[in-house]
Amino acid sequence: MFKLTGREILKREFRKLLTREILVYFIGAPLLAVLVFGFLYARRIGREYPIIVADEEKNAVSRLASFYLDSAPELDVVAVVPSLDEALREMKNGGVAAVVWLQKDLYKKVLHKKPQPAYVFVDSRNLVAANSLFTGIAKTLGTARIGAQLKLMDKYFPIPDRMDKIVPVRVTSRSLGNPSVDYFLFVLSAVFLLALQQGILVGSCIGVARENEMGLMTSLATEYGGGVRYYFYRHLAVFTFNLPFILMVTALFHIIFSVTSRDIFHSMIFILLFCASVVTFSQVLGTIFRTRLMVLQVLFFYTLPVFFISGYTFPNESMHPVLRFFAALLPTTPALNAFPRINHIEGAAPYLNGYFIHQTALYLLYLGISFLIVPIRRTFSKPIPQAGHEESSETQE
Amino acid sequence: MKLIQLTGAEIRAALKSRFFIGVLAAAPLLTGLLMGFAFGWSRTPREIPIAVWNQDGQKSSRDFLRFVNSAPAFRIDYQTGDFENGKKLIVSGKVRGFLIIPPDFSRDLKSEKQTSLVFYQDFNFLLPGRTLAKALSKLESWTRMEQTEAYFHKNGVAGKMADFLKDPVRIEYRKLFNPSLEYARYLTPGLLTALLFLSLLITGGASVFFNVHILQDKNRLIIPAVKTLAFLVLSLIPFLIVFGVLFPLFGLDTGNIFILLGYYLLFAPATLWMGMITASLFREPVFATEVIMGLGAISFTISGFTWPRLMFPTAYQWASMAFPLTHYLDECGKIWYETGFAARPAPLALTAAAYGFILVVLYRRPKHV
Repeated sequence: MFKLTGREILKREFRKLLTREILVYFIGAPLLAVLVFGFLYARRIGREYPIIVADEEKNAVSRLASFYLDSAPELDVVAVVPSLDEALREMKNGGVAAVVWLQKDLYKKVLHKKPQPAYVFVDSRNLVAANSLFTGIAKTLGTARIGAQLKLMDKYFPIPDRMDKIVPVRVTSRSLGNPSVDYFLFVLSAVFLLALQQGILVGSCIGVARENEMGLMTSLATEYGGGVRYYFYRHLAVFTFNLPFILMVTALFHIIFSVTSRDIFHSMIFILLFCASVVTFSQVLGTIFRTRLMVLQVLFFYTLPVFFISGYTFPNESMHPVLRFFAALLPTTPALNAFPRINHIEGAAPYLNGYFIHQTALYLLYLGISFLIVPIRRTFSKPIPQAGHEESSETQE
Repeated sequence: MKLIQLTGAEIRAALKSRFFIGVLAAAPLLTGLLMGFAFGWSRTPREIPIAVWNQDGQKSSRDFLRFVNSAPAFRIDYQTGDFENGKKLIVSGKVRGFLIIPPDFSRDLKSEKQTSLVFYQDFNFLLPGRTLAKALSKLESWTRMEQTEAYFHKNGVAGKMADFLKDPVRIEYRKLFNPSLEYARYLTPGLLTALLFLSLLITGGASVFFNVHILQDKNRLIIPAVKTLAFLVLSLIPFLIVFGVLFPLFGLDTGNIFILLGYYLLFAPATLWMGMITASLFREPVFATEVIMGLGAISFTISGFTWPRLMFPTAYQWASMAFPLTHYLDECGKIWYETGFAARPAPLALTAAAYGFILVVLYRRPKHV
C-alpha cells in the first residue's frame, strides 16, 4: 500500500540522526550541562557567609555571642570591630553580607531590667544569601535569647515549667521532600530536566529544520506515505534513538551526584513521558521555524523564561492566570512539578496522576498538531533562505 | 570619515534586517514582558494554599486558625479529617503545607502547658517552603508574646517588668536595600539584564556573518571597528527597552540611569566582542550559534546573581570573571538599590579590553572568518 514500510522509515530516520550536529545535542549538551551545573552547586547549601560583629559591649557575654554566631554553619565571623560605623564601612567595601550590632551596655541594661535590642543589618539584594543569613542568625541569636530569658525568669519570676510559659505554642516543621533544604538538590533536579529537554529539543528541531531548509519535506512525506506517517515515524525514531542517552544522563545524575530516587520506576516512566512530549513539541517548532539558524535563535531565548514560568522557583498559584495557562502548554511545566516529588517523597506517584495525565496530554497535543500541520504543508514549498543570512542576500541585491 | 560612512551603512542594513530587529528589540521586549509578569503579578509569594487538620475543634484552635488565615502568606484551602488526605493534598501539589493541630491543643493552653503543632511542607520547592516556614515562625512568635503576656497578667506581673520578662533581648532585623524581601524586586532586574546579555551576545556573533561582502576589500581591522561601532549604537535599543520600558513597567528602580549607561558602554562592547570572537573562532553560523547558546545558558547562573559566587568551586569563580554579565550585574546591584557601595568599573573595563585585544589578534590573522 505504501512505498516504504514502517520499519524501513525507522531505519532511514535512524541513519539521518547519526550526524555530528544532532549527536552533539542528544549526548553532549545534556551530559555537559548536568556536569557543569552539578559541580557548580557542589557545596549544596549556602555556608560561611562573611559577617562582622560590631561589638560595642566588649565583655564575656558579647564575646560569647560572637562565638555562637561563628559556630553556625551558615555564618563566618570575619571580624569583630568596635563600632557600627566601622562595620558598615566594611560592608560598603563589599567584603561582608551582614553586620550584627551589639550595643554598649547591653548586658548592664538587661541586668537593670530594661529590654534591649540587638540589631542585625543584612544585605538583602540577593535573597538566597539573605535567607541563609537570616536562618543562621535567627538560630544562634534566637537560642541565646531564649537562654537569657530562661535565666532572667529564673531570677525574677521563679516558676516551674518556665519553658512552657515562654514558648506555649511550638510548631514543628516536617518536610516531605528535601528535608535539609538542599539548594543543590533543588537546582540540579531542574537542570537535569532542562538539559534533557534542551538536548532533545534542539537536536530534533534542527533535524526537522534542516529538511525544511533543503526542501526535502514534501518529497519525504510523499515517499513515506503522507505527512502523518512522516511525523509519526520520525518522532518514534528520535525517541527510540534517544533512549540510551536519556538513561545514561539519568544514571549520571543519580550516581555522580548521589541523588537518590525514592521511586526509580515511576521516575523513569515520567522522564520518558516528558522526553516523548519534548520530541513531539520539537517537531512542531522545527516545522514552524523553517531554518536551523532560526530554530537556534528562537531557542536561545526559550529556556530562561520557560524555567521561570513553570512554577518551579516562583509558585504558579502566585502568577497571572493567563501566564499559568501558557505555562501549562509547555512540556517542562508538569515535569518540573512532578519529577522532584516522585524522586524525593516516598510513595508520591499514586498522588501525581494529574501530572502524568497532563504530560501525556501534551505529548498527544503536539503529536496531533504536527499531524495538523500536514494540510498546510504548502508552506514547505516556499523558498527557504539558506543557512547563512537572509539579510546578506538582501543586501547583496 | 570612511569609518563613519561604513558604520552608517552597517546600521542601515541591520535596521532592515528582520533578524536583528528580532534579537535587539522583539526578543528582549517579549521575553522581558513574560518574565516580568511572571513575578510582577504578586511580586512575592502570598496566600499560599495550605490544608489543616484540626483535631481539637475547640474555640481556641478555631481562633488560632483564623489567626493563621489572616497572615498574608497563608490561605487555608482545605480542612481535612485525616493525615492521609492531607498528605495526598500536599504531594499532589494542591496545597503547599499541611498543619495538624493536636487534640489537646485547647486543654494544654488552658492548663498553661506547652502544646506542639506539626506542619508538613515540601522543600522540593524552596521559595514557597521558605515563605511558609518564615510566616509560621512569625505566627509562633506572636502567639508566644500573646500567651506569655496573658500568663504574666494573670500572675500579677505587669507593666515594665512584664515587658522585660516577655522579651528581654529583642533581635531587630534591618533588611538593607530590599526591605520587603520582594522576590520580583530581587530576580526580575537580574533576569532582564541577562536578557540584554543574551541579545548582545547573539548580535555580536551574527554580526560576523552579516554584510561581509561590503567590507571584503577593506583593511582587516576596519571590519571589527565598523561592526563594533554600528552594533554599539544599535545596542541602545535593548538598553532602552529594558531600562526605559520594562523596569518602570514592573515598578523596578533603575537608580541613576546615566551611571547605568556608563557601565553599559563597557558592558555592551565586551559582550558584542565575546560573541564576535566565538563566531570568528567557529566560523560557521549554525555551529557558532550553538556555542553561543551554550555560553548564554550558563551566563546567568555563573554570574552569581542567584547562587553566590562565594559558594562556587575556585575554577568556576575564575570562569565567571570571563563573562561581562558577572561584572555588570555586580555594578548594577549597587546602582539599582543606591547602596552607596564603592564603584568598581575596573573588572568590566579589563574584560572589555581583553576581548578587544583577542578580537584584534583574530582579525589580524590572514584567515579570520
